[in-house]
Amino acid sequence: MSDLGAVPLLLLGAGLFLAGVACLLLRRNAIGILFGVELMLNAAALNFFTFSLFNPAFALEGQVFALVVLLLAAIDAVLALAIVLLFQRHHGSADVDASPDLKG
Amino acid sequence: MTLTLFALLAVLTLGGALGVALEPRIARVPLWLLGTFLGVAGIFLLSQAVPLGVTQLLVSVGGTLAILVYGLTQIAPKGDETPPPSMRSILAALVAVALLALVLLPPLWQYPPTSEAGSPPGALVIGAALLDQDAGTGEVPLANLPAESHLARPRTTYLLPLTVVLLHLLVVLGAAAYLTRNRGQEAQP
Repeated sequence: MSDLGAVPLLLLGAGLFLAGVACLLLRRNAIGILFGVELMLNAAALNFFTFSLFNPAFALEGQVFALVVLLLAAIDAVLALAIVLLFQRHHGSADVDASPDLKG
Repeated sequence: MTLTLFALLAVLTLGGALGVALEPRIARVPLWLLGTFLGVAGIFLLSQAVPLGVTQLLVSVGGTLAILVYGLTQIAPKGDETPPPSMRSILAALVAVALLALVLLPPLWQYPPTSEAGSPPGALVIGAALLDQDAGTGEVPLANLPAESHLARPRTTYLLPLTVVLLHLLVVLGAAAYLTRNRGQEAQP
């Protein structure tokens, strides 16, 4: 990987993050939105890893932060799923636009 | 060889991510997300970061994805009835993503192109750092320092953040179980 440089990895992370943002904006299903959040967290982990690879002073910290981000993604999925199931039980649908309570 | 493998993994990762964003049937999205997770894990492993790659496979593919698939099975009867986004939403999303790309991408080219990748620390080094120990000797470095230098050296250890994350996970699992409990069954004698 050393001959590739950091830019391809950073571009990949940026692409992953943008796809996550697009998913957040396009999906109306609450679990679909959760998929977008997972993409964005993976992009964050990939960026931490890239900077740990190319910045010797950040080598250990980057890997530990990436590990924490991966664990937080799992935590996030569990809690968000519980909220989505509760939302669906109350409103009869997982469509986030269907609930009039959420309209500001 | 590395370049070819990286290109294949990048295509798998980005293709999966685009599939997650654009797949019309929600039930098929986990398959696209699996591609993304495997691609990212492959990139970690290609860079010789074995602990991260294995964690990605175990936690993301084996844990997160399984949880999300379970969630989909719970909302499946209603989930596929969600109407597709309107033209206005698609246009707004395109504009938002394009603006974000304009902010995100230009700074990437300023990263030093000649920077060389170091070898990522292995599981032993990461584990020793989590316990604030020296990876070679297994000793606690703080104990070997003179008393006055304890103040000079920042007492940074990774054990506390990891413990906080694990406690967070425990609390969140309890909260999730509380939120999703079946109140109808509880009310029955």
